[in-house]
This record gives sequence, C-alpha cells and structure tokens, in this order.
Amino acid sequence: MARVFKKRLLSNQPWMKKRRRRERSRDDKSQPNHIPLDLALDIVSRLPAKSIMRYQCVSKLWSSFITLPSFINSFTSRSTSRSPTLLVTFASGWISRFVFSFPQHHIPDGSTCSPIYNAHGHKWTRESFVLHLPYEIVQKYYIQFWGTTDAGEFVFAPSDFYETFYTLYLDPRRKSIRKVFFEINMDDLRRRCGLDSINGKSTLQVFPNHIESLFSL
Amino acid sequence: MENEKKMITLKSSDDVTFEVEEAVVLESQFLSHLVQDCPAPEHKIKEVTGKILSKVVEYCEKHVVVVVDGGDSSSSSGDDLKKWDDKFIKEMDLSTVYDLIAAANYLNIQALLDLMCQRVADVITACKDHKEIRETLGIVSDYTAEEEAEVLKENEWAFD
Repeated sequence: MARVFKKRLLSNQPWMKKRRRRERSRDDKSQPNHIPLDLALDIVSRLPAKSIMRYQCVSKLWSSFITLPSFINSFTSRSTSRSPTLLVTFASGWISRFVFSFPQHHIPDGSTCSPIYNAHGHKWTRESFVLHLPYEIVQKYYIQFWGTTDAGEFVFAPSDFYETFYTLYLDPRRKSIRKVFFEINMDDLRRRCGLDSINGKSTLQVFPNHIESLFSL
Repeated sequence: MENEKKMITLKSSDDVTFEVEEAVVLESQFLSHLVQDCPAPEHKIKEVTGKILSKVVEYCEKHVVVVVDGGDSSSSSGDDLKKWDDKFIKEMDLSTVYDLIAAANYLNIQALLDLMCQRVADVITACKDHKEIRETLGIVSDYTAEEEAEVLKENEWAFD
C-alpha cells in the first residue's frame, strides 16, 4: 500500500515540482530533487493536530497519507514524547460539550488561562496571562479531585462553574499549590457557535495528562 | 591520537572544494564511513551542490566547535547553539531548506535533518488555512469543489 503511494508521490508531488522548476533556472542539474516520502511524513507528523486537520484539506493525496494507520501511530508516538496537557471539557445542559486543552506545566502560580478558539466539539488553546486572585474566590467553588499529572501533582477543579474557575495543582512532596485561573467568555462562545443554550452553570470534567492523537479521524 | 588536525577536502557536484577538519566530517555518518573506508585526501560528493555543501559545512563546523569547547556541556553553550541554529534557518528560503533536507538525509547528519524538518513543520504550522499551505508549499489541490467543501466542513473546527 505504502509503496504504491510512494511512487505516486515522487512522480507527482507538486511542491517538489515547483522547486525543481526554479532549480532548473539556476542551472543546478545535479541537485537532489525530492524529499523522500518518509521525511515528508516525518515533517507533517511534527505538526500539532490542529494543523494536521488543515493539512488534510490541502489535497486528497495528502489526506490519504495522513489517515494511514502508520502515520497515525507515528503521530501518537511523537505526541507522547511532548509534554501532556490538561484536557478540560464542560457542558451546559445536554446540547453541547466543549473541549479545551491547556498546558499542564510551566504555568506559574497565579496564571490565567482562557480558551481562545471556540467551535463545536474540539478545542486546542493558547494560554494567556497573569492575574492574582484572592483565596476567598477559590472557596466559592466546590472543589473535586480529578487525577494526577505526570509530574505527580494532584489536580483539583470544581465540578461546575459559571464563567470562571480555578484549577489547583497540589504538589504533595513540596506541599505547594499552584492556582491556575480559567476564564471562558460565554458571550463570545454563544456568538461564535450560535448557541443560546449556554446559560447558567456548566458542568465540568478535567482529564490530566492528555496526549493529542489522531485516532478519531 | 596525534595532535595535528587532519584536513579533508570535500568537493561538491559543481566542483566547489571545501577544506575541513576531520572532526567536522565526522558529524556526517555517511562521510565518516567514507573517510574510514577510503582514506583519500579528497572526496567528491556528487549529490550535493557547492551552495548547499557550504551550508552543511557551516553547520557542522559550528556544531563541532561548540561540542569541543563546551566540554562541561554548560547550558549557555547549548543556548548559544540554539540561537545560532535559529539564525541559520531564519535566513534561508524554503527551497534551500528542501535541498538541505535532501543533503542531510544523504550525508546522514541527524541533527541537521531534524532542524530542517522542524523548520518546514513550523512554516506549515504558521499557515492559517489550507490555501496558505498550498501556496507556501506549491501544492496543487486534487479536490473537486464539492469534495473540498465537504472536507472543510468536517474539519471546520481546525480553522479559527
């Protein structure tokens, strides 16, 4: 299977062809003209899952490579070697559930995370920045234990929230706590998704040590 | 064994020559085997042009020097090297990057290959949509309009 694809790719790969044309005008005849398929796939497997989804829209040929089981596996093993993230999902009512992922490490105490991308179903996010909030606010929520990170920290977060909530990372050895503030702009979410259903409290679930994978493709 | 540095001459496909220390050549798995197996003073590398070979030599020389200097592998020399790598790739157009990927693959220089592959990956990641990726990499779409609409809808969430 892969063999067949390989031939097709090498003879018919437009991004290489374009380069070759330019190359010829520089009278560079002996230059190697192709990036071998395994290297091209190596490059694509370095992309975040979201970019891979965009890449799938580029051409049928590339889409066919990206959905090969061997590619999905190699993406997963590369993804496993990166830092895991904290997967957060919440729902308001039963109509839609929103999924976000946040960095789990390298967020200093007192940081604020807010999802920037919004759409149905899946979400990958950036982190934004530093705000200190008093401890009283943390006490407003009913805090639940969700699991441990790969670094051995215990993750606590509320099981429901309005627009904001805290995630607490407790390091049992150092007896230290990191407080990370999450802020979800519900108006923005409603506007982007065209949903009126997000009102009042949202139920929340948190999954530490999330690793991106393409198995759901 | 001997303190005097052994020099080796590399000749590109278009007959540009580079005189480098043996340690530099050893960065390449392919060349280190070649140098061991046939101890000639000059080696022709038919698959790589002078323009690209000069980049390869520049990279290997830099990395050899840093590894030798930073015997204690201090983090500052690692940071410096990373800065140097960043500058090295920033100045390069994509077609040079492709040529360097092919050359690093042929000469078997894993660190250079990694650096260049990551560069292309970063360029693709920076593209905001499939059209920009096509434009950047010169890919011609083989989707029909209907198929494209469908795959776009399926992956809607990946576009901001």
